Amino acid sequence: MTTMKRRELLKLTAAGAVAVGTGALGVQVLTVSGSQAAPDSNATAGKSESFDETYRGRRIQGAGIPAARARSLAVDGAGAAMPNVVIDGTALHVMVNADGTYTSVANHYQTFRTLREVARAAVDELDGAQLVHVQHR
Amino acid sequence: MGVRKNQRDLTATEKRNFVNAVLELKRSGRYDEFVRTHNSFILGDSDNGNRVGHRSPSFLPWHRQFLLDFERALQSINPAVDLPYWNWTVDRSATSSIWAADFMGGDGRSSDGRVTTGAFAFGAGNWALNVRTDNRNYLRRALGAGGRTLPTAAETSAVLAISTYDSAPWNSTSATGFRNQVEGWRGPNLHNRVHVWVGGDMLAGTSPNDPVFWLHHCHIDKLWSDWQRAHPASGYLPTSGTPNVVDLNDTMTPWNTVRPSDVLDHKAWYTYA
Repeated sequence: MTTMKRRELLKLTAAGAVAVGTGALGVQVLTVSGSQAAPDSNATAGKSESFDETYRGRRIQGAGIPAARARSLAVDGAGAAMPNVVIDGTALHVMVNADGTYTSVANHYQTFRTLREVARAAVDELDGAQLVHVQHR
Repeated sequence: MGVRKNQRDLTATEKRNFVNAVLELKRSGRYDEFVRTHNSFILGDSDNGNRVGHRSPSFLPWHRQFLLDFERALQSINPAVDLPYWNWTVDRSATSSIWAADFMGGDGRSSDGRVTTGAFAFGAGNWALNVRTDNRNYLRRALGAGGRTLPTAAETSAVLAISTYDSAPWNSTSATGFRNQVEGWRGPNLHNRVHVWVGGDMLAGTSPNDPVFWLHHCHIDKLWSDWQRAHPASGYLPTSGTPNVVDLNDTMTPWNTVRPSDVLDHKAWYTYA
C-alpha cells in the first residue's frame, strides 16, 4: 500500500467533480445493465461527452473529457477521479474504470460505456427517488 | 470453532436464530456500521488509486475479515449462530426456499421494488434503511429482473480451475487470475452478477442493507476456500512492493492489524459443511 492515503481519497471524493471522460468504444461491456435505457449509440472514441437532457422525467447532465486525459489524471493520483454527472441537481458518484467504462453508486457491480448510459441506469434504478449523500465518518 | 452450513440445510430453529440475531444487531445500531464501512470502501476503492475491499487482490481477504467481524457480532448476541452460505448455482430461482418468509423474505413488489414478506420487510417494523444513497428507507429487491440469470455450476467450476490467484494490473481489468473472475469484472462474472440478479439494494455500495449480502459473500468465501484446497501450490499474489494494492504481508484498512497472510487459513475460526 503506497501513494495515496484513503483519507486523501475520500477528501477527493467529497470534493467531487474532477472532470474525466469517455472514449469507451471497443470496450467490452461485461455485465448486462439493468437499465431500460438503450445502449448509447453516441459513444465515440476519444471525444468528450456532454449532455443535458430529460430522461424518464428526470434532468440528467453530464460532462466528461477524453479518455486519454482521464487516464493521465488517474495515473497522476486522482484515484477515483469523478466525472461530473448530475441528476435533478444532485451529483451522482461515478467512477472511471481502468478500461474507460463507468460505474456509479447506484449500480456498483456493473459497468457502462458512456456517462449517459450510467446516468440513465441510475435514473432507472432510482425510479423516482432522490439521491442523498451517505455520511462518512 | 463454527461450522458454516449451506442455508438450504438449516433447520427452522437455525433460520430463526440467524434472523433474530441480525434483527438485534440492527436494533442496536451495530448493523448499520457494517453497511457504512462497506459503502465507504466501495466508493474509495479505485482501479488507479488505493484499493482494498474491491477490484483488487485483497477483495477476498478483506471480505473474509469483514464477514468474520459480522459473524462475531452475531455470536455476541447468540453464540449458536454461524453464517450460512447461499449456493446460487443450486438455489437459483426467485421461489427458492432462501426467499421464504421464514428466512430472507421474498422478491420486491412490482410497483416500487419493496420487499413485503419476512422479517426484513419494512412493514414488519424492524428493518428501516438508515445508511443509504437515496431517500427510500425500505428494503428493495428485483430478483432476476430483465431475464437475468445466476452463474451456473459450470461457470463456477471454470473459475475454480484457474491456477493463478491474481495478475497485474491488480484491478478490475486483470485479464487472468482467479480473483478478478470470482469478483466478476472479467470472465463469466460470478460475484458481481449475483448482486445484480438480486437487484434493488444489492446494486448499491450499501448492499449489506440486504441481509442476503452475507449469505452471498459467505459463498464467495467458500469458493476461495475451495480454490485454496484445489491449488495448494498457488498462494496469494502480489507478495511485495506493489503500489496501491495490499501485498501478502501488508495490513488492510480499516483494521490496520490484519494482513492477507493472517486470514489465508480460516480453519481456526470456522469450517464449511
